[in-house]
Amino acid sequence: MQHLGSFLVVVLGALCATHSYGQERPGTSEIFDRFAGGVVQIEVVEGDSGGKAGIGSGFAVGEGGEVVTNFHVIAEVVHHPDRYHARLGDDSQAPPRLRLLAFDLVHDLAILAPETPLGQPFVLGNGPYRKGMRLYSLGNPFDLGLSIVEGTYNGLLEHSHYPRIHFTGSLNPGMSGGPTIDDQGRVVGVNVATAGNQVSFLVPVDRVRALLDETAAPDFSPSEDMSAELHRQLDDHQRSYADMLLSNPIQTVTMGRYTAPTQPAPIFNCWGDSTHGEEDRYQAFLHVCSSDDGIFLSRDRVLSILLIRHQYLHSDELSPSQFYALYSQKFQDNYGRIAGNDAKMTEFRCRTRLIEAGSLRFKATYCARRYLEFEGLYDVVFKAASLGRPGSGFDTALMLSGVSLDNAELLARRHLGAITWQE
Amino acid sequence: MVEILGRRGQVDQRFRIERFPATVGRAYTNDLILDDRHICAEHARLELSEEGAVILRDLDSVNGIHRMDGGERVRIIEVTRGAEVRMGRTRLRFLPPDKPVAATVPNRESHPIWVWATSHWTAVLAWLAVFAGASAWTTYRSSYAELEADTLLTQLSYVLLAMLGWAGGWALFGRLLIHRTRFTGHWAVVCVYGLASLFLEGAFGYVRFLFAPVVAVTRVEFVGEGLLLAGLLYLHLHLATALRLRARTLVFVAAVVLSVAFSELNRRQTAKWMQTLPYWSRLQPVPQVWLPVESSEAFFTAARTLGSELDALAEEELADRAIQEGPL
Repeated sequence: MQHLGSFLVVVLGALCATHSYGQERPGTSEIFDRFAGGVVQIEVVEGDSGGKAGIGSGFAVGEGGEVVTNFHVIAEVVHHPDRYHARLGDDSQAPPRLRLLAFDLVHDLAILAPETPLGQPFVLGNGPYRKGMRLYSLGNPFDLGLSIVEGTYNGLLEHSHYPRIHFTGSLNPGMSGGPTIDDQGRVVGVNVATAGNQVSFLVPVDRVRALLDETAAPDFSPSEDMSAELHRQLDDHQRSYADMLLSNPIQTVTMGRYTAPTQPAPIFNCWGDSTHGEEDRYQAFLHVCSSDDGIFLSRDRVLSILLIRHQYLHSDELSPSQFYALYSQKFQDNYGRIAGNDAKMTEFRCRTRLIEAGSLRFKATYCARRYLEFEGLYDVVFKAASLGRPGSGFDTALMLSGVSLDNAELLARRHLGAITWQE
Repeated sequence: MVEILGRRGQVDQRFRIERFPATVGRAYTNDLILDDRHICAEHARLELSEEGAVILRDLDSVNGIHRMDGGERVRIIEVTRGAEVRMGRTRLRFLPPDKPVAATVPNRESHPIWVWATSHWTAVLAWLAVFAGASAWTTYRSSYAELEADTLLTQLSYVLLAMLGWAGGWALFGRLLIHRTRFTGHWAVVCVYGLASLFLEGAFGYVRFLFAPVVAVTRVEFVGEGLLLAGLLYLHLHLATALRLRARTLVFVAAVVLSVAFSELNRRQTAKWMQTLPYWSRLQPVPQVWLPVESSEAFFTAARTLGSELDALAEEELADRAIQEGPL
């Protein structure tokens, strides 16, 4: 009976697709009535207390045997499979469990399997899509009940290595993992994040398809050790990200007589600012590069991957000791609080020395801390302040999260090597 | 000649025996009265023997006479050419009257500047000027913000008032204890302490620039501060009390130990919740040629050891958590 139902839906959808061109677009309530059935609420509960650790949305695909959602909705199940499990959020006495099949950390996706196949599975869309296209987002905002939100497709983000669709619509927490569909009910993306003010983000459907293809493979079986799988994905990610960074040609920016590296890759967003401090006794210039990539590892840790920050200071008025008192203060801005909570990390350890690099002299510090649960993965902060000139100073900071020490060293060496001074 | 010796062998009193026999004891009827409860009212007698020797005879006393060298009890001891005995808890030394004394030591006058600096009232103003000047100068040379003259003066005034109170307190204490106020001396001590503290701070600005280890440098600074504080206390006690060298030295050592311990405990507490990178961000305007540098190549290569350091840390941390959380 279920299969017949979904078959009819597919046929209906196909019929509508062939006739949609030239016809009036279906209204939002119609879309809701037709397609909302396949959306489910997902709860992550703690085994002992039964308390909810998190809720989100998801949707059935294929024959109803798989549920798609975000990795961050079910992250606790990956980190502590013995304590947490996922289940459907219905109001019954014994809500059916969802078994984790696979996940894709960097694209923030996860595939779960229900105990019995669900009805009204969604069809995945194909693209290409045009900016301005009308989209409909489904999900459970703030546990208020299944809802539909209208919005617009606005293309892929420029400053993101891992693709994200810019969706202009008001998504809310709780809608994570729900589908965003076109007016034919085809999935265009998966709700993943919002920045407020009608700026939201979706995971493109082709990433969903890629993950489903994996689970559909004949020899596929869910990992025994999800933590090890997570570690493997983190390692793959940092390696491919570092390769991408290292293969990009070095670009530079000029600050005073110094040139320094900028724009590590096209996906980075760089901007500068100048500040005149304290009644113009000195001038300060700032240059920052960051990307919009953020990998949700857990509630307390979102990896921001790479950040660059340069500061240039100059003064004609201050005496050398006054200037260096200021310079020291500026060099002190430390980045111990990168990427969130420190509970799952070791302390930082630093190596600080006075070094020479070409014709320049620096006070350099190279700091790192390790992920407790993931061997070989570190947060690294490399800072250097140039020395020897009484009235001008340049300090740089390179912050990396979730990298191997080898890659961090390569990136730091490259970073330092790109700093020069014109006579 | 009889000398009564104190606990450290110094001479407390001297008596010349004019005629013999002379009685020795606690009662007021004696020729030589010794104030010691372990000495009998009539304890001993100094006599001239037939040969002309001077002897000390025990008069059946309770605690007797003991030789200093050896400690044996004697009834009669010859003291003509000098001897040391113990009666009760008192040490006595007998000397012939013609014992030569050591040569005269010429009196070395304290340097006039030293005397002036620790006693004359004008020195108070001089010390004030020196300290205020040094304080203002160090503040000025490390400020990059516009310094208002009156803010500087206000801050300085607070410090000086505190110092005045401190020095005054010690002067009062000295007056009560040994009837010597010595305010100039106390004031000089506080000012020297202030100057030394400023100097220490400045020196450590360079230490932090050149040396990397955060905890070690901090501890050395604690020791330095402790020494200064202890020195301050020592000098105040020297001026305000009659405490002898040994007592003052004890206070000095205790002050250093307590100061360092307190600072260290404080450091550990704050380190727990302060999330900062463990490096010194202090920079100094030292010309390039004088900087003790290593190559960037060596720097990065050596930094690889951080990996194993962090692995060890992680092992420790995980082991601790396993103990805390217990089996699931």
